Amino acid sequence: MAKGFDKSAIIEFFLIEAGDHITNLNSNLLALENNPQNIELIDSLFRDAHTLKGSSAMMGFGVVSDVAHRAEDILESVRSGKIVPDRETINFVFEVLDIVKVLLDDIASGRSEDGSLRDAINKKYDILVNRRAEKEQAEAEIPVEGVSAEAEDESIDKVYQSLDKIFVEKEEGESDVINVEEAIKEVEDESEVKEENKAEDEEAEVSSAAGPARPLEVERRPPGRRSADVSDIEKRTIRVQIDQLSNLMNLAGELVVNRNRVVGQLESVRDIRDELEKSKARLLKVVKDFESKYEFNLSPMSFSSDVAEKKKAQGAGGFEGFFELEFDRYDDFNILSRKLVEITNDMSEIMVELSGFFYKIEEGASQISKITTSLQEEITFVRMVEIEKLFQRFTRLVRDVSQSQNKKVRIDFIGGDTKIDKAVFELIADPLIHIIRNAISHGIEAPYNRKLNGKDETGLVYVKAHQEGNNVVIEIGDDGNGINPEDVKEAAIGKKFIARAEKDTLTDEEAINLIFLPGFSTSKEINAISGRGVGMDVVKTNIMKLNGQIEVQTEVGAGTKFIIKLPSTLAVSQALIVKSGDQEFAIPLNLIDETTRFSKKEIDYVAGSEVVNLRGRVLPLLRLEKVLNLHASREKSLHPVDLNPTLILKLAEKKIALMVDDIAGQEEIVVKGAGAYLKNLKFFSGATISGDGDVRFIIDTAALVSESLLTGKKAVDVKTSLRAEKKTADAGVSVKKQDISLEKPRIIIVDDSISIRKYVSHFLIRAGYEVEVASDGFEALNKVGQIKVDLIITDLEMPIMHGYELIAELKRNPELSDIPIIVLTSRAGEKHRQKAFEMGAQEYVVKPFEEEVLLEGVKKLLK
Amino acid sequence: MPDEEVLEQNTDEEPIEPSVQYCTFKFENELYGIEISYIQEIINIQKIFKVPTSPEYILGVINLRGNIVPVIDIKPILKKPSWKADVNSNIILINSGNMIVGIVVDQIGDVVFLTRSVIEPVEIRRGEDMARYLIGISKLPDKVLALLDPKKIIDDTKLE
Repeated sequence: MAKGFDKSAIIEFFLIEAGDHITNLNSNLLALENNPQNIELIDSLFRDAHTLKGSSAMMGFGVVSDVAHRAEDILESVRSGKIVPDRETINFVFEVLDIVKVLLDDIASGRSEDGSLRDAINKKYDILVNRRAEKEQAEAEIPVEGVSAEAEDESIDKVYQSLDKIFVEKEEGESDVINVEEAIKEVEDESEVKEENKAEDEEAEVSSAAGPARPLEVERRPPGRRSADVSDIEKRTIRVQIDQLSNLMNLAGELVVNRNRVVGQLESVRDIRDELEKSKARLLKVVKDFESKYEFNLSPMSFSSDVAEKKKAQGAGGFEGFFELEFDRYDDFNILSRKLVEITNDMSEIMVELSGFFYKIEEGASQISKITTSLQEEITFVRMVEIEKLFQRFTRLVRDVSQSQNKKVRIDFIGGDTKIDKAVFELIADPLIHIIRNAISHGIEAPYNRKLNGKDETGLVYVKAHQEGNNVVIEIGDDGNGINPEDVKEAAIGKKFIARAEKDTLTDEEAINLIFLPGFSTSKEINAISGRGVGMDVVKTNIMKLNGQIEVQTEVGAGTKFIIKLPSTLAVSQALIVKSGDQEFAIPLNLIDETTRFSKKEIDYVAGSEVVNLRGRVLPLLRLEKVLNLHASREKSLHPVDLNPTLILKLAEKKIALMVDDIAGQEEIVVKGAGAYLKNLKFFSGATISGDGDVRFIIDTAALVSESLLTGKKAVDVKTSLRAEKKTADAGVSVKKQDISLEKPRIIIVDDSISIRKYVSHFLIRAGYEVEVASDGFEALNKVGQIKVDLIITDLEMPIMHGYELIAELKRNPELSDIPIIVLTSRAGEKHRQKAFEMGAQEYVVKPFEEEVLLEGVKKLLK
Repeated sequence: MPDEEVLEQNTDEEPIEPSVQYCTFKFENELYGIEISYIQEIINIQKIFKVPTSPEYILGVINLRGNIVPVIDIKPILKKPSWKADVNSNIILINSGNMIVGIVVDQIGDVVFLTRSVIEPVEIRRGEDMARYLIGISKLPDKVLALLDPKKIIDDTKLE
């Protein structure tokens, strides 16, 4: 056990791991109840219990380990068929889980383990086992003896009842001690138990019974703390249905739409305000002009005009000489003018106030804008998963496929932390699996042939992912035989995709494109794994559906590489809004190569189809209104010289020109499905809602492109295929880099328990070793194939591929058979030790172990 | 099937026959009904966006609070002239098997309670096509009510 070693960092891992085991055990136990014959369930239960036992012992939690051991023992008997998993057995394991849970909570809160719980479980274990023995005896003798079994049944029930009390009592009282041993004793003496059951106040009974010989004091738990409860760590996470997330995304999208609408309206209001400001300024100026003019005009008037003089004299009633008074009293014009100035000033002030207010609204709007944007980003981000998870599905596939084909293949994954939308992830999984299968069955040669060609016997398949702007690029490559265009052509002729006469007219690139035709397969023999001919066209279609692109690079003899480019999220994308007729449509921006203009005069015809000449390259031309049948009659309205907006769409290497009526602008759109009813809508991949609430359909570029090809040559598809590029060495290079950096001896730790992995690697790193980890034999085998490893430390009980299998595999491979192996297991039996040594392990260390013992072994073997 | 439901309930000793609610609507002067459990909501006619390349009976889609919902005209199915845009029309949103589809109707009527015994089987008069979409006919005091099977209509008309 770890001495003088700070475990706290590792304890958290242990707690998470133990929590997982308990969750697994719980759900599998429940499943087992309904399906007691399921060997897989029993195996997995056993493994979980075993690992739990092992890792807790490793961490120094003896009580957890012992308690888990009891469950393991029972499950072992179940596994070996000694006992059937009846209700009592299952209940017992549940009970164990509850106890473990309690113990783990103690550990989590920093308390020490409660040894009395172990005793309680041991007691119950004995009762269960004894009862079994008796029952068997009874069955062997006379069936009537079943009565005693029944009695035992009862006694078991009592144990459960009294244990239940331990959990429940906290509910009633605050006194912190109860007595487990007594609770068990109660059961042992049946009459006492019966009496006690009659007692009204159970708590009083228990505490009064707490007197006798060496009572074990147990801190009581809150009621109902069972293994079914969640741990604190689990409490911090929540699993969400992807549908709910989509709904949330929808709502966030709506918010964006409404934000856009508000922003749009605000803009109009701003324009109005500016207009108003201008009008105000004009008004002020006019009033000022008017005022000065009036003053200027008035003075001469008042002195020179007789009429005015007369009027004034009459009205003023003999106040001649008081010119100023005359102004005020007699001239309506003057009064009006003043009022006008006043009103204008008032208005000006109101405008200032309004502007200030308006400024605040603008500020608020931009704030909302920011918040909606980050809300959308956050939600989009929640949907993203690491592509690593997808890679995990491939490991097993590679193993199975290569084994069935007698090929040696190793798979490399690079860039597993690249994030991708869960929806994209699900849609891309099958195409990738297909490409990998193909790589192994068509690409990688048989080991013998590889040797002949001077290649390593083990073929390499690699999957590399990285982010590129809003896209994720996934490369799947192999160092196999490449795709031979001649083979492809022959196969295509054989399948009547092309005429023999056509053969020589096809370029190599075009020939390789043929593999994307439906029903195409070059594999000489048909087998269950690949070569069924349903492959690459489906791959292509799926990727196109995602607005993605696929590209092939291949070199005969050196390998093939598929490059897939996908949008990293499907929820939001940039699009160009185009108009055709009175409707607007959205076209994903990532597929638009450029926008230009063509006049009717520039349209040529090739074999009856319209084409345009873009800088010397002849492209098929589609008119959106024609394709969508919007208003076929309007065609004449194209003026011979008017320039019409035209988009150049690029799908892989294939370009087409799409003429539209107008380009409205670029926008970020929230992509929505058109619903199940319109699922098979031609030419549209979905729809989006504009800021004004209008529905715009999203043009399915891939469908347009294939539409343009219907008129053209049948054979050549839209995929790029370049030949001969020394790119296939990529993965090899990155792997070698890892090799070069190696100076310290490298040890790989293979154990399904994360805490063991953490713990062992921790002290090995401290001791100056480089450490790799693997959670099962299969993963380990993969890693050992990729990187140089000097020593392997492996557990025996593991999922997928256990320790013995791993050793056997290692010894079978001449390159790997020399790596020393230390078996680190909780199986202490001599039988296992013997077997491990026989198979070729050099050391056998039993968990829990002393750090020094393992280090010693490591040092010895690395010399 | 709603019919079975009614039958089942009838086997109870309850003397009162349970009834099912139907929402009625008019196409010109004829009265039709759809069982209320299929109806998600009824909205006023709103802007319908055409779906290019789709069959004529698909009038288009509407923006229903951010969701895109197709709207169809079932009058041709019922051997009637196509629906003509009219501000008094309503859209009945039918929910059938995870699909929400709007049906334009000329005018919405009342909700009626019908017991199984007042629903009569359809007499095929106007040909098979139409009868396919009728569950039955019920004679109301002033009119005859034709009960439609919305699920069948939607399943038959969706783009495949």
